[in-house]
Amino acid sequence: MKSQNGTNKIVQVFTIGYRIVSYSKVSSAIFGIAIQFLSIPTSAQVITRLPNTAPHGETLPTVEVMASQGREETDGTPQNGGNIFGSLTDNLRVTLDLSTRVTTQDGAKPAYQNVIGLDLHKVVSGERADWGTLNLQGYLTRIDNQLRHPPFFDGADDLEFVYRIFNFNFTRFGRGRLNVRVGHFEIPFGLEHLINTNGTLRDFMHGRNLGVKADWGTGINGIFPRWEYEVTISRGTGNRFFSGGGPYILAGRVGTPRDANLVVGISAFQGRVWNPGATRQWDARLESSAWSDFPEFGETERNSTLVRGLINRQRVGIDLQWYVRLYGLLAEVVYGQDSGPTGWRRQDVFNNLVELNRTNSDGRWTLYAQSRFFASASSNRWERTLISVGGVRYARDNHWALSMQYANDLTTSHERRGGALSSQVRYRF
Amino acid sequence: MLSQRKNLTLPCLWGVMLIAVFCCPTPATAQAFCALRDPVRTIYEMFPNASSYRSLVRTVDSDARDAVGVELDIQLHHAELGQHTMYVPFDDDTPLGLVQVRAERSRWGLVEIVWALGLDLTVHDLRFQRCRSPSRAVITETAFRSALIGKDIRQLEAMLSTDRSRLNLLDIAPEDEPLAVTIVTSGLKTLATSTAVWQEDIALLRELAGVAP
Repeated sequence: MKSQNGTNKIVQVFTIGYRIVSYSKVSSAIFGIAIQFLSIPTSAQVITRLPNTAPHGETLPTVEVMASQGREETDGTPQNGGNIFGSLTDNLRVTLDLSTRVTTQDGAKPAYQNVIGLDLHKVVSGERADWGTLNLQGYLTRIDNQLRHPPFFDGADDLEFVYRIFNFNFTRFGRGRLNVRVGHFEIPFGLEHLINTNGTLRDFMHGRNLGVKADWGTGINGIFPRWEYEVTISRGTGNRFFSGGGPYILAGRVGTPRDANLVVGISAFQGRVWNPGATRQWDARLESSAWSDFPEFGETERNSTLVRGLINRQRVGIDLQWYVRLYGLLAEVVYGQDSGPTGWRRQDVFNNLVELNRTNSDGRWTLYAQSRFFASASSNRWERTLISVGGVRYARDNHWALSMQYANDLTTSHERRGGALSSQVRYRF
Repeated sequence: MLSQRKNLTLPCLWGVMLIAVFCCPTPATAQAFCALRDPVRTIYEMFPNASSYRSLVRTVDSDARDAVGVELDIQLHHAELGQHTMYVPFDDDTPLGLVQVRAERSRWGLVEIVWALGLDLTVHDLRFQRCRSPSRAVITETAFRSALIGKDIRQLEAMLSTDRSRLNLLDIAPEDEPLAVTIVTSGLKTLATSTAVWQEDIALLRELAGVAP
């Protein structure tokens, strides 16, 4: 019965996915673009036509070069029409990404998350330089019984098209020191900025600390010999996009080179973030007089459920990674304040995370143990939450990744609440 | 409802399989593509005259593995197959060399080595991008690194013993020798795969730079 229910859920995902593709303009457009990329013969030719003038002023014959996969005679005419962006399949990586996740909880039904998506990476190149990198990750995500879910899901059972990393990073000028990014990107703050946690069980503090993991906007980033940076301005609404209530995020991180054995960074965050999960606690204590502090909000906005989910938030943080042989020690300390238009109390916030991890020599196995501490204070009273997390990830090869994680929520000022065991299987074609 | 679900399931599955088939020629990694990073800092350190660089993404497939096997009698691991990037730094219109990043297994985890090659396929320079080994200083010390610079594939091969487990002619501390052997072996594979996969690109770049073939 259980396996049949699981199979039915997978079929349900595909069925809904088919309907979405058929009737949704956005999804159809995205899948259409993907098929356009993929339908160009992959065994075909990638043509590189480079300048035909040698450095000493001699003129060399134009050379049409074919990639090692094929060969075709040409008449010297640029096959890409002289398009500085190259052919569509030049420097292209694209794959189908599937995953299924089950999370059990004490006293509650298991939560399911099934995901199917396309991961596309293309380096847009001219004749003598790369112009930038296009990274598109669109994932059709189905959740069932997931009581704790991101706010862009309409409930514990829902299907949404999730934009993960979905942006273009323009890198043509500046020798890597001044790049411009546009699209949907991870907020540059703390450990999460450096370590890929897209679609993985292993996670850090973005969700609970900032309220938004990735957002729509633009920013600049760059790499110098001894440090690197990214600063962005974005909408503040995460996977959704709306302007009511004036949401925004201004965030940035500066740090030492990310591949060193000791990495240190500082981050700052200022914004009005859509985070209804955090503002829910204040709805019950709504005081009408508090709105006088925010005269820009009219009657309609005050009654808007979206606006009521906005929270003013400031954060500063320090992050550290220290690697010794097969072990890694990660830490992040954050201080800030929260307040809101349905607000009222300004809360001081103090969050931190510590992780110890170990990999094996070929990097297939990763074990990690985390401690996540969240504290907020109002009226001189601190409320604290301590969550301990332990997990393992096994990447068998370039396709499979198996993960398991146990998170135990220990709220120190209340009774022990129990834990959640999550398992995930992921396959990339 | 059940019959309606059956009617839609097959087209769904067919659509997914179609996408999967088209996706097959571009082997993925277990990590998302957003984790890919260009060795920007190292490229401009090793080629300080470079004003830009261009990426050339090609597939290291079974044919390339066979070619490397013939050239070196080394079998590439299946995890080493897939799409890889060669970076070509340019000084305006002039290609300056080639850059590749290779990940090698070592006792203390994966070591990522950035190889800079000349257009004549000799070693121009090398740096660690990531190395957790306590022996990492071996590559930064002048003697070992200098010994590799300027070597072609045969000269690198001569630096290793017949069974490729030890170094010849170099005075390396015993505890550092395994990492040093890994580095030299990595250099051999870099040169061999460059020839096997990027041969035609390199020929064009040589013409542009006025380097003899």
